[in-house]
Amino acid sequence: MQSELTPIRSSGWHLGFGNLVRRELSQWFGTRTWFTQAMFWGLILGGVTLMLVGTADPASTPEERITTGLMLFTIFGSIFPAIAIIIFSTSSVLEEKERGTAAWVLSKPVSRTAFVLAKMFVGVVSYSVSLVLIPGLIVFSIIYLIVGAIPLGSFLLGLGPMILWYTFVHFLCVCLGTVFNSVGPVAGPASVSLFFVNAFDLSGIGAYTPWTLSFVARDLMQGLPITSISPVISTLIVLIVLLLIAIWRFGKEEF
Amino acid sequence: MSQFAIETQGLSKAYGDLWALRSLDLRVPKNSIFAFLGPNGAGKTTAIKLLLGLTSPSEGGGYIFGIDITRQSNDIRGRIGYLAQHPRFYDYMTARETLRFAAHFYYNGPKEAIEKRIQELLTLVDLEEKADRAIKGYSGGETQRLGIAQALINSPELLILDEPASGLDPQGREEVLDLMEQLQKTTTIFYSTHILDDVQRVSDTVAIINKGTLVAQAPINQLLSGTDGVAYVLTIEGDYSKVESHLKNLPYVTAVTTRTEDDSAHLVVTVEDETKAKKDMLRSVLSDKTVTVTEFGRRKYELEEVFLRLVEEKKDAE
Repeated sequence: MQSELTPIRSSGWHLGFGNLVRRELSQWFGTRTWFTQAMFWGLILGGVTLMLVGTADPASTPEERITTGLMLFTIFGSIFPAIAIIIFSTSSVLEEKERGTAAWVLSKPVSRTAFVLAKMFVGVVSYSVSLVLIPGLIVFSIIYLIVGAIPLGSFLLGLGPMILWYTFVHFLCVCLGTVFNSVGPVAGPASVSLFFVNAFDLSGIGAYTPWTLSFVARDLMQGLPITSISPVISTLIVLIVLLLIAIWRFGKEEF
Repeated sequence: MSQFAIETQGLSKAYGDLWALRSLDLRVPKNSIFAFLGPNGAGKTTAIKLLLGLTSPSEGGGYIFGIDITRQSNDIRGRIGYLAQHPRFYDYMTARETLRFAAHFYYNGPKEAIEKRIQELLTLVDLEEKADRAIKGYSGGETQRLGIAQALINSPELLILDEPASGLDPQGREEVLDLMEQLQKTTTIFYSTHILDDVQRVSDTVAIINKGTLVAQAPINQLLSGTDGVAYVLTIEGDYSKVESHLKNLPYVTAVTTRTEDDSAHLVVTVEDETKAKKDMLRSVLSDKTVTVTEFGRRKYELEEVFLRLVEEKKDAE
C-alpha cells in the first residue's frame, strides 16, 4: 500500500505552501470564525449606517445621504474591524512561535518562505471575505433599501482599497511578529496606525501613505474619478517591503 | 555511499558567549539505534535542532545521508521523521487531522492510500479510539504517541527522537522502547535521552555528551566492557584460595582480584590474551572438584559507571 503513495518531489521556496494554505484556510473557513466575524462586523457597520443614514435630515438629497453613508463606512470600516485583524494576525504568528507549532511544521519539508507567504495570503483572503466583503454588502443593502440608487459595481470596486488597507495592517503585524516575541511591539505599531486613518488628506505626504486609502475607497464607491492613485501605489510598495522583511527575518529565526 | 546516516564535523552552536555545543563529531551508522546520552542541558536538543535545520551552526557542519544539513535541510527533512522533546500540535485538530496534515507535506495522494497509512499509524500507537477527538484533551502519553505516529508518517529512513520516553509512565516507556526495536529493521534511530536504563536496553551505539562536548562515542558493548583491559568475572563457592593461586599461574592472566561475600568469592581475572582465556580459563577452574562455579562471564560495567567515569575523566583532562 505504501508504494501507492505519491511522494512530493518538488523543492524550493514554495515547498509546503499548498498544505499550509489549506490548514490556515480551514482554521478560518472550516470553523464558525468566518461567519461570526462577518455577522459581527456586518451588524456593527450596518447598524451605524442604518442609524445615521436612516435618521438623516429629510431635506438632504439621496446623493448627500449616500455620501454620508459611504464616508462613515469607509472610516469606521477602516478602524474597527482592523482591531480584530491586529488581534488575529498578532496571535497567528506569536502563538505559533511560542507554542512550538511553527517548529513542528518547520521540522517537515517546508520552506520558511512558504510558511510566511501562507500566513500573508490566507489572512488577506479571510479578512477580505469576513471583514470587508460581507459587512460591505450588508452596508450596501441598507443604503440601497433606504436611499436607493447606488451602483453595485462601483461599490465593490471601492472595497478594493479597503482590502488593501487591511492587507497593510495584517502584513505589518505578521512582519513584526517575525521580529519580536511579545504582543506589545507587534500589536502596538499597528494599533497606533489606526489613529492616522482620516488624519491626513490627499495633499502632501498623506497621499503617499496607506492611511488615505479610505478616501480612494469612498471616491470609487461613489463612482467619482479618484483624486490620487498614490496611496494605492505607495501601499503596494510598503506591502512588498513588509513581505520581504518578514521572509528574511523568519529565515533567520532560531527554533 | 557513506555507511553513516549522520556525520558531523566540528558542529558547534554558541548563544552569545555561551557554547551550547562545541565541536561535535558524530558518526551514526545506518540501521543502528544510536543513543545520544547526556544530562539535561548537555546540548542534546541543540544538536538535534542543528541536524534538522531548525537552527544554524556557529561553526562546523554535517551531513545526513550525504546531504548538507545547512544548505539542503528541506531535502533532509523529506527523508527523516522527528519527534520533539515536548511535541506541540494544533490543539483544535484531531489526531487523524494532524496526521493528514503531516502526510500532505510528503505525499500528493491518493487520498485512500494516505488514509490507510494514517489508520496503520493510529493502530500502531494505539490511538484509534481517540483518533477523532481534539488533541487539546490528550494526556501527555497520548500526545507523545501521536508524536511518534506523525514522525513515522513518511516511513522515514532516519528517525530522530528527542527524549522519546521522558514523561511517560513505565508502561508507556516500555511501549516506546519496544516500538524502537521494531522500527530498527527498516530505519536508523537516533535518539537523545538521559535515561541510562533505556540506553542499555535498546541501543547498539552510544554517544555521551556533557556540557556541550562529546565525551565518548562507541558501540555500547565496547563501552560496557570498559577501557581498562579485558577481564572475566568468576563467582565460586568452596575453597577459593587454590583457584586464585592457580589462576595467577596461568600464562595469559595478568591480575586476579578477589572479594568474598558470605560463602562466595568473586574473582576478577584480568587477561592479556582473550582468545586463550575464553577457551581455557573455565575448563581449567572446573578441573578443581572442590569448588563450584556459580557464575562466569566477561566483565561488563553498568552504563551508569561508564558514564560517570567518562565524565570524570573528561573533567580531569580539562
